[in-house]
Amino acid sequence: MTLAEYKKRLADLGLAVPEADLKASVAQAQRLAEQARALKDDRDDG
Amino acid sequence: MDDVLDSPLRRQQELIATGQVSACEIASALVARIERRDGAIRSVVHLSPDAVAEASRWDNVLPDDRPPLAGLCFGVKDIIDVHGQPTRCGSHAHLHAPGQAGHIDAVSVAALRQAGMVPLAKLATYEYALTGPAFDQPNPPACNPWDTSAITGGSSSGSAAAVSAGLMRVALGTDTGGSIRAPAAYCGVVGLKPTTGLVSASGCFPLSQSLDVIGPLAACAEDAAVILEALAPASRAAADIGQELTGLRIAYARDWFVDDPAADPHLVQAMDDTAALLSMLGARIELVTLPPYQRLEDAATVILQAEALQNHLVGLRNRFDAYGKDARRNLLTGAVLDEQDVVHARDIAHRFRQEVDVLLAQHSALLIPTTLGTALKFTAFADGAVWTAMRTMPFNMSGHPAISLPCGFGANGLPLGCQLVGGFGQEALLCQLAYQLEQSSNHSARPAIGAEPVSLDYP
Repeated sequence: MTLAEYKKRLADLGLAVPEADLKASVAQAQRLAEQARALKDDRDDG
Repeated sequence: MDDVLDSPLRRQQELIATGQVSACEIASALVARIERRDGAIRSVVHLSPDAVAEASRWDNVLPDDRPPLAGLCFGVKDIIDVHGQPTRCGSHAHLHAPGQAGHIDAVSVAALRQAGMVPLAKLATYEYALTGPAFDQPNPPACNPWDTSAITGGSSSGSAAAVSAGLMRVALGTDTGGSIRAPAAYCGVVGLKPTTGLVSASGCFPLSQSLDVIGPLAACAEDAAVILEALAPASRAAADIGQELTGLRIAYARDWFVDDPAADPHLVQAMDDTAALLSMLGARIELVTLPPYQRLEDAATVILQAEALQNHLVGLRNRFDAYGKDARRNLLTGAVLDEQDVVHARDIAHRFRQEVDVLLAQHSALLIPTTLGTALKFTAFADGAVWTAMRTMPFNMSGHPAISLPCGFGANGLPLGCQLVGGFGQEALLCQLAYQLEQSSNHSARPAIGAEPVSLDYP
């Protein structure tokens, strides 16, 4: 997930987030997205 | 009076019932102790001005007419409502009605009042029970009574610190991913996360409704059992305390932590010592293998973050800047999740619940660590939140009850905690086991508390 995609997701939720907060949280958000994807892959693998 | 304040609740109850001390005297002495000690640990965010008067009222009631815990005091994590006291959730975002007192007790608080108990103080919490420690909350974070330059763990930070420092025997906390058990371990007290749904969460600000549980942090296993029984009488949690345990099979999931680089060698030794102690008490210890830990923590994190964002969406839209930096940035991350992610996580939760059920059909309890080391120093958080290694979150997903109790000390002299997990509704057995371990070990020492306010290096 890129910074732009993350920003759009937040905007879709009605959240206009300052750049400093976006940049400071994007790495954690990417980690969370990876965790979620790994859970899905795990399930798909049976 | 110090001996009385440091006695288990049942002993205090006896002393009051036999007229050796009054509820008023105990409450007054606790207030004096808070005034003397809390400057060093900052666990109390609101001291009830009515507590002594409320306790005194029970002294005027005939002993036979008093409920079981009449006049005894407890503390409340400041995300749980107490009639007449403000709820701030450790956040400037919750201060939109400054000084406004709660109009109604949370169901859990009402249950303890029904048993005669008196809410003495609201206690520090990580912001909205989410993340910490942080210095942009209305109050600075509570400090660990064993070392005031160390964190308490969270999010029931004030509850753990207050009980550890002897400011009260028991306090209510909440546990969404370990928020009762981890601070209990770091502060050397007992933390009991009951079966999900056993204690109503009504009147508590939610973090993640699927995972949130209310329960006691207590100075000893017996006190935790007494409070759980008052919260959920059907649990009969304190009924068998002190009775001998026989024929127990304890599952020990040693490979769930022993090879984790985060595991403190003292913790590994303390866990093996606890297993040996249980064996000496007559239990049969059997090594078991659980599903890989990280995947379970990831699934629980997905559920938590998705639900937490939903709970705070309106707040973030309207009062974004009023949230602390770490809290709001943590909440935002939930935006990357979609419905399918949560469905997958819940599926993993469901399967794990079944696996634990199978294990606990063959064993009385499961032994694991609570955290993998002792409390970190505040300085470790200078650059923001740090994820500390623990083994708690999967049981918020599965809903099984778990009790954390002291099991030793790290090289730095700070407490370590182990955890016993039981089958649904098996809190009485967990408390009984924890009591037996306490009676057979010397890990429940109390820290020496200084009277001077602590000066932290950070920030």
